Amino acid sequence: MKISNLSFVRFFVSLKLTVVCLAWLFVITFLGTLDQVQNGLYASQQKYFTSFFFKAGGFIWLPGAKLTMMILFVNLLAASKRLFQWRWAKSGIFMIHAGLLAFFVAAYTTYVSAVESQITMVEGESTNTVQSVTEWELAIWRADSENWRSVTAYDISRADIGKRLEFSKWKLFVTVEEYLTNSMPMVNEQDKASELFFHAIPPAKNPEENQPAAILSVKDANNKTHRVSLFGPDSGGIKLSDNNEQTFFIELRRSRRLLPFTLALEDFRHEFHPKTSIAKSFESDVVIDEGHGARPVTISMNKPLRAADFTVYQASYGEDRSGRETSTFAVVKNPTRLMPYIASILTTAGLFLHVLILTANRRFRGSPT
Amino acid sequence: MPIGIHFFLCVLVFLIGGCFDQKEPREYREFSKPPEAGIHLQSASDGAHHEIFDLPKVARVEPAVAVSSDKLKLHIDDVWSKQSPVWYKAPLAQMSISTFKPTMEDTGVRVTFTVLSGSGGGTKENVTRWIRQLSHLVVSEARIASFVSELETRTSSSGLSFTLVDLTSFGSRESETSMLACVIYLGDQTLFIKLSGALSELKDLKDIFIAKANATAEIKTQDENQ
Repeated sequence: MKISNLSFVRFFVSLKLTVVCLAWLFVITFLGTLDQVQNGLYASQQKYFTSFFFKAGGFIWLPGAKLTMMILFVNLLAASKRLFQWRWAKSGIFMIHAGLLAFFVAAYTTYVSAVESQITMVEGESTNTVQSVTEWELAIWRADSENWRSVTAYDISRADIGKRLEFSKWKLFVTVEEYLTNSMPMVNEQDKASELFFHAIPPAKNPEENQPAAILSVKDANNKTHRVSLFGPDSGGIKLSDNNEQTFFIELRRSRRLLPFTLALEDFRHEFHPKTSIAKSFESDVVIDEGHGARPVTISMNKPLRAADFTVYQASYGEDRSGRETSTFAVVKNPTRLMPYIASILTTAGLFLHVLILTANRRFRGSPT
Repeated sequence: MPIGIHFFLCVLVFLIGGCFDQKEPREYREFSKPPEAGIHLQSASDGAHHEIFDLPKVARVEPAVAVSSDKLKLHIDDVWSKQSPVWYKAPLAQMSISTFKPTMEDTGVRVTFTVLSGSGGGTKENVTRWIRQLSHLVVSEARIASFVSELETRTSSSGLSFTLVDLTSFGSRESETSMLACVIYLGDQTLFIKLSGALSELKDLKDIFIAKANATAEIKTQDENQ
């Protein structure tokens, strides 16, 4: 029996499946748009678009956009393979389809490989790391010099509760006893001398607003165990010292990733629309050092900075706890950022080629020979 | 190549991407050069480096809320940005639910609203910390203790207790950062209203701040609505 005659292969080759998938994507987009009004953009994306299945009406499981697009991709590829027969006259059509498939690949590779994060700095500050907006890490660090720290960090949301995390460099073992995704600090009213403890509260609709807390058990090199409580929004961490009087800090903080360059914020400017507090424009003068000399760059709303695989956009501004103005940059690392351009060029070139071939065919047929 | 092999290859490509789950530690050298040190006004739960400590047992308890956060935000907006003199919305400070500035121009004066569960660390403890954070001069423990013991708690006509805190007496130079605050006790949570800015600006805004803080304390609790 030929494999192409198998029922499930015939199912995936059918163009009826293409129509059903496209119609279902339309429905999901509509549902997701309605849902984000109530539940926020992030929760809707998670439920409808980045899931294999979602629960409708509280009890019916339906395919999510991720599964639907995977089926559609396989279906288009298989259908093209079966239905398409190569002829020079159809090379334009072939390029258009190749371009459309490249769009799918681009969307998926971006989804898998692109990392979005941000940097918030006050004027005069420099850094070589970006911070995740939603992910948190448990970091232990030591100051090597005034501005340099050696850091070991675990992504805390992926750490198993009760399992020991090894920070061998610091001869410390940390067990996460409890991790609260969103919490509210409180003081024990019976014991005023005691420090803060935490109430679990439901995760925020916008995950950027979550204030996580972690209760840890830290075992040092002398087998002495300490109970440590960390609250995400606190800055600076908790000081630990060993017998050799080495000092480390343990901190629950937004996950950081290393940049291949150092960025320093020199100046931040913003302008408002007259008689409103709506921003008209805002821009930052930065100095980027990629290891071969520093250069000044101005990043504004539609003029990002591109360096290595990173694109740095001016995203917003605000204030830190000291009331100092801060500038926030969205940083996107996308190793496949050229893919959508390639897909667009392929599709456009295919359209032109097809029109050219059609025109040439008409002229050729219409000319007296 | 048979269609079946195409099919399986495609499925494999799609599935591989989602299978990685990083549980290994990451080691890196972080460079962080802060700007020149300034004056820090820290929130109730903020702190620099803490020494290691043992904690009381942590219990998962959902906090009871006497005033919903939406209602509180609406009330604050009403009092501060609609009632005369109108203040203007400013970018949210960390942990705050609302932030306003008194004029369109940016004079560096901000009023921030922060809600914490329970007593939010205790009024006396917070005020003591604020004084220490604001101290451009060395303030003796005795003076701080005396100031804190003299804090007066009033009751609004809606029955809520609140404490006004005026820290302008601790400043001497007009350009120094100072603070006026109001702590409102909303049943199982506490609202902190903190006005910070240059001492000269705060002296001018003091009466307006007290009037608006009094009006903010007039919010009706859910019990009262029922």
